[in-house]
Amino acid sequence: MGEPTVNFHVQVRSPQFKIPTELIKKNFKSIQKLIEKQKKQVTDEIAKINKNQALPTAVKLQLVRKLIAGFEQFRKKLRDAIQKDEEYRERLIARKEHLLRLNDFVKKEEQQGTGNDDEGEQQEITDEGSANNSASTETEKGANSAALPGELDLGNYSLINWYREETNLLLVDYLIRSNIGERASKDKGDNLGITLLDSLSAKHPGIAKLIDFDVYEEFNKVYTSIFISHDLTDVISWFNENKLSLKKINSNLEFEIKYCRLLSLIEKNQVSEAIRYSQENLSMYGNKENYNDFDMAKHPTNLNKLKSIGGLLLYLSINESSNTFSSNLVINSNGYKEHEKLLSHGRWDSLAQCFLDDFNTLYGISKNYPLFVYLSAGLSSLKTKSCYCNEKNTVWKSSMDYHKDEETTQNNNTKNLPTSKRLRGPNQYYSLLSKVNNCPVCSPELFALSKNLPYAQLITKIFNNPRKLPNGNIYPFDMLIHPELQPGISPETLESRKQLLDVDKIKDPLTNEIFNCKDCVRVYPA
Amino acid sequence: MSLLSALDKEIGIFKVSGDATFTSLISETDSFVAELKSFEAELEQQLHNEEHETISESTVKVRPLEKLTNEWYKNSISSIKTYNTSINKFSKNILNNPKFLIDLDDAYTYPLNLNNFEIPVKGEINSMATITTATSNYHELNKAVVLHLLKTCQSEIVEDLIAKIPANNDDAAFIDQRTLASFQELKRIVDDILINHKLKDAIDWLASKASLTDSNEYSKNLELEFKFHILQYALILNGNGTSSNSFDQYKFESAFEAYMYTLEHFSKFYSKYTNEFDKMILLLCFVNPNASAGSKEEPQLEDLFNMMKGSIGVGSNERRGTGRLSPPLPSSASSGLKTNRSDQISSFVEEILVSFQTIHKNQPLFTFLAYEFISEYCKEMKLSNNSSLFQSILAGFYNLPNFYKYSKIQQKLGRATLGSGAGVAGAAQQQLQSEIKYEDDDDEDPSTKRKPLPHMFNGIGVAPYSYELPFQLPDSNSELFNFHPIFICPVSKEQLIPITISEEMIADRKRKRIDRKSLSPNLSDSVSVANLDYISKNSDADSMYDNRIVDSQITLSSRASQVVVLKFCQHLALRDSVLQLSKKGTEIFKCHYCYKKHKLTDVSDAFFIDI
Repeated sequence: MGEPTVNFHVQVRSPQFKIPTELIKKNFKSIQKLIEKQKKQVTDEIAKINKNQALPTAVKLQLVRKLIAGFEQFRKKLRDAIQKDEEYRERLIARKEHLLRLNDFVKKEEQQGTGNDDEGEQQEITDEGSANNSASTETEKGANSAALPGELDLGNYSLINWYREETNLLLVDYLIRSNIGERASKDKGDNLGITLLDSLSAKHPGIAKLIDFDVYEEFNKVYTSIFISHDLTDVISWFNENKLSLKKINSNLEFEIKYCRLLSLIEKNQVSEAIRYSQENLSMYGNKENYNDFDMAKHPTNLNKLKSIGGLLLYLSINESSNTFSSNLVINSNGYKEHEKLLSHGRWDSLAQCFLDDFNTLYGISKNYPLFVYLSAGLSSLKTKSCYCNEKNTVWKSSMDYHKDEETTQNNNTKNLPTSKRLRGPNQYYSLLSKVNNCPVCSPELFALSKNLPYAQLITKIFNNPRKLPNGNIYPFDMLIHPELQPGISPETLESRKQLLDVDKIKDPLTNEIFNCKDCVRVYPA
Repeated sequence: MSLLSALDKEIGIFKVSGDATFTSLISETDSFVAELKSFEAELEQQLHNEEHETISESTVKVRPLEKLTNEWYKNSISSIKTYNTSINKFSKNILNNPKFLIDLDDAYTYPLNLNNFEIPVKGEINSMATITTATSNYHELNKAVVLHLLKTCQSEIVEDLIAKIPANNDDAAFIDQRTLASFQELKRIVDDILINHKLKDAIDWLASKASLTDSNEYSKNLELEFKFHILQYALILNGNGTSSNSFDQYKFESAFEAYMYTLEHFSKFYSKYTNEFDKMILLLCFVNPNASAGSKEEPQLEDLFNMMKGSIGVGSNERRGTGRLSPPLPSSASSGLKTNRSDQISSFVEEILVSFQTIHKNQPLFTFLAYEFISEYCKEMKLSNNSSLFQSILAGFYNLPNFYKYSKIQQKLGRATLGSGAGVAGAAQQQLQSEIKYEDDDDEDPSTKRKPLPHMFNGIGVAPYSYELPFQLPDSNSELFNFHPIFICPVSKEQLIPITISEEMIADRKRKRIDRKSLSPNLSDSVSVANLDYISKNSDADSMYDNRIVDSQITLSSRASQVVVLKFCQHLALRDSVLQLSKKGTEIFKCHYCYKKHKLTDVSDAFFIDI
């Protein structure tokens, strides 16, 4: 499966189906609770009526009216919950429909050979599971053989558009979740990802159903409240909302929250409260018997964390009277530094990490932003050894650029003759030929991001009819003998080139040297 | 059954089950409330009677309320139980089915130097350089996102994003107002195309640029202008060019107006696109103004379309509205330029013909044209023709299966890949750190240079040229991703590395060194002192970081591998290989392909120049 198939697209999008289902489950539980609560209430009311059949009619009427009112309220709540459920199911449907569009973009060979479709798919699934073939054999197979079942055709413009939408969704996801900064803490409603999604929805209605923006926004809210505002309120309410599901995934979040709360008390120097809090809420985490088989692994780390609390209390007293010589010695010790870190940001980092892990596990979300995953693969597969940082392909300027531009223009003009070999690199000839370099990896921003990534393994790919001029420059010769094909050529230049061609001469567009056509030799790169 | 059909089926079942459950839940509640209400009405009546003392005996039926409640409860619970079963079934068949599960983390084989959630990952990053790079990369990513949004005309949040990029140091990044204004203008024109289906401003812009610069008959600009005119013509013929008109509102005046439009605008394209014009203008005569779409008089139009499709030479079996338009190629893929372009024009005209009656509903057509317009507009701004971020991610979408597969095989073989497992970025960073190696062996003889280890980076995470993907990517669709001429030496299998060291880089490096020295005269250049300084002062850290990047780039570029042409057979190879074959010029060697004998002096340097 070297090439992208519909199946692969379905498989990597599993969180898109997992999240709404989790939301449905959560909502389902609240519906269940609602019914139970209503039942209890009704039974109580009815018992009152039944208990005393001789109640005056007016009282009976009052009780029945109360029952009806209660039921109507229940009905309203039920309708709200049902609406939520419908919305989540609509997300599933919208995502499925979105993926079904891919069927229009599969390679045609596949469409014709639908007879053994099932078999092919099955084969592919098994291959994936075992993954026992070598990468190279598989890639060769993919490159040379007929299309895989469900293989997508990138030559289809609508597929490119489909990917454009997907790219925007990746950006929305990244922006919502990474919305960390002053704005996030100042104005809660102001999430850049949500704003982008709103603006996208104006042009593509329905796009909002393709992403669980509410879940991600809540994540961002809780995450920033821990990581930036150092506030426990949001994470506590998130924990309470998801208590049951978190228990299923053996979450340690409850401990982390309590531990963080304890450290906050210590930080505020409320030692006696801290001790009481610890006794009431944390001491049980030290006891192995309070852990079941599945979450036993958490015991040692939790115990260690609890053990350090004693030292922390001592740390406080040292911190208060840190003038003595012995205190100075202690201050430089490792333990002291650990405690210092715990009371500064360490505990928030650790809680944030725990929340992040639980959130991801709960919804089956990847640990890395999907944007990063695709970008890294894309950049690695596009990165060639001819790439360079093309400062021209950006709108971003820095205050230093202005001076640099002047300097380097002067440098170039004075130091380099047009025939200089220094000017034959792509970083030079593109601008000298007023040609735009479209390579994405060369754009300064992505060039920076791709620095640590590997180079793609490529095969020779040279323009058609490469001919070497006597000065060593190899050009696509058709472009030289048909100068009108050259983009951006001015009418004057075109005219002069044509005149030269009439006498069987060509001009090197880079060095302006003139050569006889017969001296330009065809070279063979294989 | 394919995964998608299985998913489709399961979601279908799930939806039906949900609908059924909630309908019955609501109806159960409703009937119970109705029962209560009738009870209430009877009680009201009873009360009324009691007040007027007409009948003293109770006429209210004794209701088994308890039983009714139990029934309501039992039915409600049994409904939701059915739904619960459906949820579990869906989870079992789809969500927990390993066939449907691919963890994206497993495909993150080569992590970017970016932190996922601005949180120090487990295992602590020891190097300040790595942190600085990650932060600066975070800004680079935001800058790329801004550029993407500008180029895709979604500039609503651009201002806010720009505000996230630090602007308080000397080298602060900014976008000048004129550039932003140009993008605003682009957005206006593109919104007009996409939302209002108004093409006039785009046509005017293209015409104004054509009159200023190149307007020879092969110009891309002119070609695009032609496409716009053709679509405009179709829109006029179809109605008055606004999206509210549909084909059945077609009026004779429209035909006349369209005819006048052709007279006014088509003359300059006449010689080049005669074939396409024939078909388009024919529409004028064949379209019956009195027939609505689907009526008996209409078939002639269908026949006409079929005939025309055949004559343009594009297959007619494809589905409507999808598949005919091929994506514009990067300009460097110049092979077969002429044919490619004329094919594109033909398919574009065919697309218009096929969807002529419902032209306003063919949004992909407008999107296609809008992106072609953006591409021309960006070219005019001397920028690349597409969003670099999108192109990279597109390559990611396309190539991800290979990364995933590679990573899976490595896992199977018990080798942990760079990015797998928890704290992905952190693990990778650590690995990077543990393999720090400065590439300062400039003087090393290239012919004897030893091949660095696969993950041998220098301290700032710049991959050496020897660091390549361990697998080859599929070659199909490579025209979409082909931006540079690539030459792989048949002897050494190494890729050509053109000289890309720039004067700017050297000047920049010199200037920074001078600046640093003048700022802190006591500071020695030795690494240890610089490191201390680096940790204590962030601004200096940046400049040190930059210096090291520039240094490493220069070091890498000094490794440029030159292409040479063998004199007697015109075959190409890399200079290093030829040096090795000729034992540094001491022996005569044979060409790798044709075995013609050459001396080292028989080879000459060559440079690929893509125009």
